[in-house]
Parts: sequence; C-alpha cells; structure tokens
Amino acid sequence: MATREAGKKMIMLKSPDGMEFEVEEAVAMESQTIRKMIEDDCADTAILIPNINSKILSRVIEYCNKHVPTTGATGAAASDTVAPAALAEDLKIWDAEFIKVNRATRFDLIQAASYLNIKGLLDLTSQTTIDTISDNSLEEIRSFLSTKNDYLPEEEQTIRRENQWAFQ
Amino acid sequence: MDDVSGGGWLPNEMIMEVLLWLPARSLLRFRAVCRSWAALFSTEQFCSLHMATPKAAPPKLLFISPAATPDSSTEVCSVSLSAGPEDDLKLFTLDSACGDSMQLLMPAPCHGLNLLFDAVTLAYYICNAATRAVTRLPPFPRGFRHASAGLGFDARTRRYKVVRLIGGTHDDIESIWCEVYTHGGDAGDSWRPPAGRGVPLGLRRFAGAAVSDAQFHNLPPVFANGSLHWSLHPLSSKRPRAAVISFSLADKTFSFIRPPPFWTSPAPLLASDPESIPYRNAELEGHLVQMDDQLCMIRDLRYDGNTGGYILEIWKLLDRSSGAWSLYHAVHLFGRVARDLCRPEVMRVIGFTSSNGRLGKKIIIITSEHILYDEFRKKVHTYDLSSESLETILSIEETHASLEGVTPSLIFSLFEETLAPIHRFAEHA
Repeated sequence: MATREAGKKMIMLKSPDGMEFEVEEAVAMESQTIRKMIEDDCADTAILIPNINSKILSRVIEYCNKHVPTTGATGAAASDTVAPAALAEDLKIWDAEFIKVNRATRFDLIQAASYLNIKGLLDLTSQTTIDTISDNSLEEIRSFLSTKNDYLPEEEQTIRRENQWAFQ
Repeated sequence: MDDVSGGGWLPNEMIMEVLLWLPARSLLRFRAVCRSWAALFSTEQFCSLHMATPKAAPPKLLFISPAATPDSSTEVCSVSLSAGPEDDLKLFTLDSACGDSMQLLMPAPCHGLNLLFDAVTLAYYICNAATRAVTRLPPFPRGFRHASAGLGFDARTRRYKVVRLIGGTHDDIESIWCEVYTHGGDAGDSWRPPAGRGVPLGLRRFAGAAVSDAQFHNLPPVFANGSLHWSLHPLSSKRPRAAVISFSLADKTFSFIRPPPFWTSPAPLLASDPESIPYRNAELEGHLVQMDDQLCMIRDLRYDGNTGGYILEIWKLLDRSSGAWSLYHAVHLFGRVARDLCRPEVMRVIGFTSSNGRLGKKIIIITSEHILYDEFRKKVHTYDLSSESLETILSIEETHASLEGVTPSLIFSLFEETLAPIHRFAEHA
C-alpha cells in the first residue's frame, strides 16, 4: 500500500454496505464523477458511492491506484527513469491480470466504471467482454446477454443473406 | 478461465457500451441476434458512437488490386497496417469497372466512407469498406476535363456530399463551376450547384489553378474540420497569397488559407538568383493531409540539398483566418531507409494512426516509383514518429495502360470501421 505522505489530501469513499475506504484525492479523481463532486465542492470528507458494493469498489480503487499518473513528487523514485513505453507495457500486463475475473464481476465492474466515469476501466472491461463474445455463435450471445430471438426463421435467413460474408 | 454459465446481468445501456467496441463485421452478424439489435445498429446515434470508439484491431488499409488482365473486374482489398502480408483480404469486386481504370480518389476516408472514380466510364462510387457496401453515383452533367472531386461530410445536415470543381478551358480561365451530390439526400439523386454564391470572383483564378493542379498531379482535396481543401501550386507568383482553397460543406462558401512560412521565404537552391522565378513543383511544394481533423501540409525536402537528412516536414494549420502554420514534426532518415523514400518520384503522407491509442503516432506514407516504360512500383510504409522506424507494409507492381499525366493513379486509402449506410440512388428514376 502507498504510504501516506504529509500534505497529501485524503478522501473517504463509502460503499452502501457500510465499508469505508480512505484514498488519496488524486486516486479518487481518476473517476470523473468524483472529480466533479470534489471540484463543485459537493464532497464532504466522505463520499457515498451508491450501487457499488465494497467488493467491487475495492477493485475499482485498486485499478485507480495503479493508473493514477505518477509524478516525481508522489511516485516512487524509480518511475522517473522508466521509459514511458515500458511503463505502458507494464500497465498492460497489470490490466490483463486485473481483468481475469468471472463474468458477473466483470459486468459489475463495467457498471461501476460507467457510473464513476473511469474511461480506462470502462474501455478495459468492455474490450474484454468483446473478446469473449465476438466469436461466439448467435445462440450463445442470446443466452449470454439474456436476449431472446424474436425473428421469424425466414427473416433471420434474409438478414444472413444480406451480409453473408460476415457469417463466414 | 471465463465462466460463461455463471450469473451476471447487464442493463441495456451497458450492453450498448460493450457493442460499440465490435468491428462492423460482427455487428452485421449480430443484427441476426434480435430485432432490437438490428434496429439499434441502424440508428445514426449508434453509428456515430461506434465510429468514435477506438477499435482494438490494428488499423487497415484499402487498396485496388492490380488487374490480372485489362478487362478483368476491379477488386478492392484490405491489408492490416501492422502485421504480415498474410492478412490480405478481398473485400468486394466491382463488375461495372475494369482493371486499372479505378482509383481510390481520396487517400483517407471521410467519416468512414471512401470515394472511388472510374476513369473509363467516368463514374464515381462511394463505398464503406467495413460493411463492404458500395454504390455508383448518378452521372454528372458537366465535362470531365479539369475537374477535381472530393467527399465531405456536412455536420449540420449529417449528410455525405461529393463536391466537384470543374475548371474552364484555356480561353476561359476564370470560369469555374461547382457541383454537389448529396448522398442519401432527399433533394433527388442528382448533382446540383451548391446553394451559396459559388466560387467568388476573387478566388476563381486560384480555384481554376487548384483544379488543374489537382488533376495533373492526382492530388485530391483533403477533408478536415468541415471543409474540403484543394492545395495551390502557383508557378508564376513569387509571393503567393493563397496556399489552399477551401469549401465549407455546412456554409457552402469558398475561402482561402494563407501559405505556410516556407512558401514565402526564398527557396535555398534559388536564393542566389533573386530574378529567377522559383521553380515550384507540386511534389516539392508539398501536399495536404488531415491529422486529428486538422489540416496539415507536408513539405517534401527529398530533393533539397541542404536539409541535413530531413526528408519531410509536417506543418499544422493552427488558425484558418490568420493562416498561422506551425512546424509539428520533421522526419529525418539516413541510409537505406532514406533511399527507399527518396528514389520514388512520388511520396505522399496519406494519414496518421495511433498505435495502441497512447504510444505515439505513426504516419502512413505511400510512394510510387517509375520502373520501366509503363511499370510502376507502389509501396505503403509506416513511419513511427517516436521510434523513428520505417516499415514497408505493401508493395505492388502495376502496369499502366495509359501514361496520361505524370503521376500514376491512386490505389491506396486508409480504412475506418464504421456502419455508415450506403444508399443506392434510384437509377433511371
């Protein structure tokens, strides 16, 4: 965990199930939603995050902690000397590990990322979901997303014929 | 790893969020999932959001495959800009056109759509490479000589428009016409003069010169920031007033942009003789390209002796009204890689890509080299601005039936993942 340094502003995030998380303001401001609350002075010392349980919120904070831009003053001394490309590569590997979760958790993360407006996390979670569904058969997708096929058989055939190359 | 059977539920707006990441091909397939998805994918809102969402797949290039025989149909193919050649893919065949007569008129798509022109049947085509849809536009009324056309997007009416500038004859150098075709418009499927005043009197001579340059050098207009831009290459004026003639698709007005500073400072090779008219060649003077929806000019320094290894400069237009340009990047290359770019007669920057979204930009360069009597070697390269490495993506040898004009035809264009619909015009209606 990051050590607390003097002069660094901390913020308390509360999940609806009563857990409290103390995070640096800079980390919390990775979320555009929280940033706006802070900038508009709507935020007290504690911010209640509705709809996001403590399990998901702790993962989101973990993500933000990793992705908050490190500056010379706050980051570890080593990060100054690491090339940006290597740093980005390192983040990518970290992201790939981070997103190795089951589908339910990933869907919760998508919703949390969307509510908190954390673009990087939303991109990561959506992209991972795409990777798993884009090659699946239509029937799998319907059950995967709990959607029903409401086409008549001949209508579905017409759609397939219109862009046959996409089905090959 | 992934637990497909496990729980989990996504509300509708989240599903849409996820779908925006898919390539057009998957979305065409997923129209068959259910009615609401098919309906969703055809909405303009979804299409715009989908185009704005970066795709994970590497950017692709569109090209016209060299014809096997002079009368074989035109084949349009795609190739990835980052991997090996094994991902060549034939997208569609145009039976109404044959062989080398087809050109990809603009080297970059406009909001996802590409403009093609068949020089034999004198027909324009619009295609969406991602959905493999293509349509031929209705015939245009005015003659073909001294004309230049480009595809633009009118953000106000959300319509694609093909704008044609037609120059006059040598006796009538000041007459210039403009015709616009609105794609999927309800004003009837025909070419019409734009609603505004047309080319203002004071700009006609410039516009006429721009059209003949565009045609002679195969330099199509560039769409950026809501306007189509034609570059000017004044041969006679030492202090050119305009470098670019532009047409705003929303306002339907013409205007001009002042030249970048390197145009007005004396050319180094000619500085010793101030009386001589500077030799201004289109390839030396530079060409236009769009980057992040801003207009840029590429300064070609390959034949300039005193540049210390710099072979091209990218100048960005900062302000249209004042004509302020600033040097964005200078590319310097030495040795073998430099020779690869210096030997061909034609070198053009056609666009930019961002690798992985964050890690710096690559520029896409096309070259054309005259090998033998009627044979040309055309290549596509990418150049990484941060690592300064040049990579050759594609090399095509082409035989030209005709050598009219000095510059061989355009056969490459960038590719964009979009669902933008292609409307068919009502033929013989």
